[in-house]
Amino acid sequence: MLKGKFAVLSLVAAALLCLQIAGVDTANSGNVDPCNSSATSPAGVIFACPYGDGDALNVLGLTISVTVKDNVGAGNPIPGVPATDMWLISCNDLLFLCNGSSAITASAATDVNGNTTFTGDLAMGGCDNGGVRVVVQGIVVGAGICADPCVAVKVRSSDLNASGVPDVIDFGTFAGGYPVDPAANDCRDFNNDNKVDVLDFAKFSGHYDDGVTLHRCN
Amino acid sequence: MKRALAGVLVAAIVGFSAGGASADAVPYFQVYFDDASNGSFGETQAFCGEVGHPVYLYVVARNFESWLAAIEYSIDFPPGLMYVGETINPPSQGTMLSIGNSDIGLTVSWSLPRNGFGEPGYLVSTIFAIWTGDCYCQAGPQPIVVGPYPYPVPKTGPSGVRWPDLVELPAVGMTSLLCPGAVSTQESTWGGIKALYR
Repeated sequence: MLKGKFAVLSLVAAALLCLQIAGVDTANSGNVDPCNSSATSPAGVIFACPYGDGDALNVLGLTISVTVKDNVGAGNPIPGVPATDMWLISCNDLLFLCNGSSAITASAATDVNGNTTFTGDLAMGGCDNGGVRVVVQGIVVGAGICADPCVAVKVRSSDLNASGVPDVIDFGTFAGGYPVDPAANDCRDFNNDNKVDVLDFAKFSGHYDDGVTLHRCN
Repeated sequence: MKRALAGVLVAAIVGFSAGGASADAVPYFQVYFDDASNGSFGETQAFCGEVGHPVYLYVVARNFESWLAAIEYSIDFPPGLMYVGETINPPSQGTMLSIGNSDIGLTVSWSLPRNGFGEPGYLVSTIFAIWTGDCYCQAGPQPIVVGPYPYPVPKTGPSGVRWPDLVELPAVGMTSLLCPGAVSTQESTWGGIKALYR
């Protein structure tokens, strides 16, 4: 009889142990690790407007995929990181982020695997052909490589001088030497066809702030 | 047989006419004169005016049948006309931005799209020019040709940009004329000419 009770207790203990072990798989330290976490995207160019009505990443096939992991070993996924805790910054500090970290945030909180995406438009001014970095709770992550966390999404805006307002100064900049063909990495080549031409001019004018139709940060 | 041939001829003419109708649907730019002097565009042909006197010309975009976000073109002026300046048609709403002018190449874009549908077309610019006197109609008509925006690599013709997808719409640059219906000539000998007065 006593032997039977021990056997039952042993089984219960074993089961609890198993549950604990299983629990370890989903637990995390909560500390975002920049090397274990990653951010990737197809390479490309996106047009940004400070007003926040530029092109959307997902429309151009430039969705940025992010996996957030902690600093334990190879990293455990961190689910439930709020979307507003993840944003983009300029790789070369050349972009004007309207309302700081609100310029663009993740599309949703991280899921059970620590995954989320950036799909929206960028309320930004300036131009950075060096790409963007993903920031999660203040920590830069990207590409799974600690030393090179830039995502190859080049950002070009009608607000060429990164003042927060695409105004007459930007028009002067746009018109200088217009048109250009070929134009490699020209900040005015908004549609990335390696030319600065009437199509880019049309894009510029559609996001020009004349003081009545506003395209500045809001 | 003759009736059959006549039928074929009629069919060919009808087909040609139909082809002409479809050609009319091609987007184009053309220069018009203010022939009635009432401040609006009219004919595509005119005789030269008095030397030093001003003349207004109107550049009109037609048949785009879409909203327009931008246009670009240039105009090749004949010796009889000297470009002085122009007023690009200001939009009633939104902002217009332009680079260059009609003489060297003009590109205009708008913050709010312009109506490129239907008649009478979209008046892009009113050009102020002067008659130079270099206008010898005996030498034949002088063409005023709308061409492509010339820099840096000339395209085949002027163009517009459709809104909202910002697709470039190639257009035809039409030719207007000074000295329309110029006196026709034929070769002759000096003896032949003298013979006219015998």
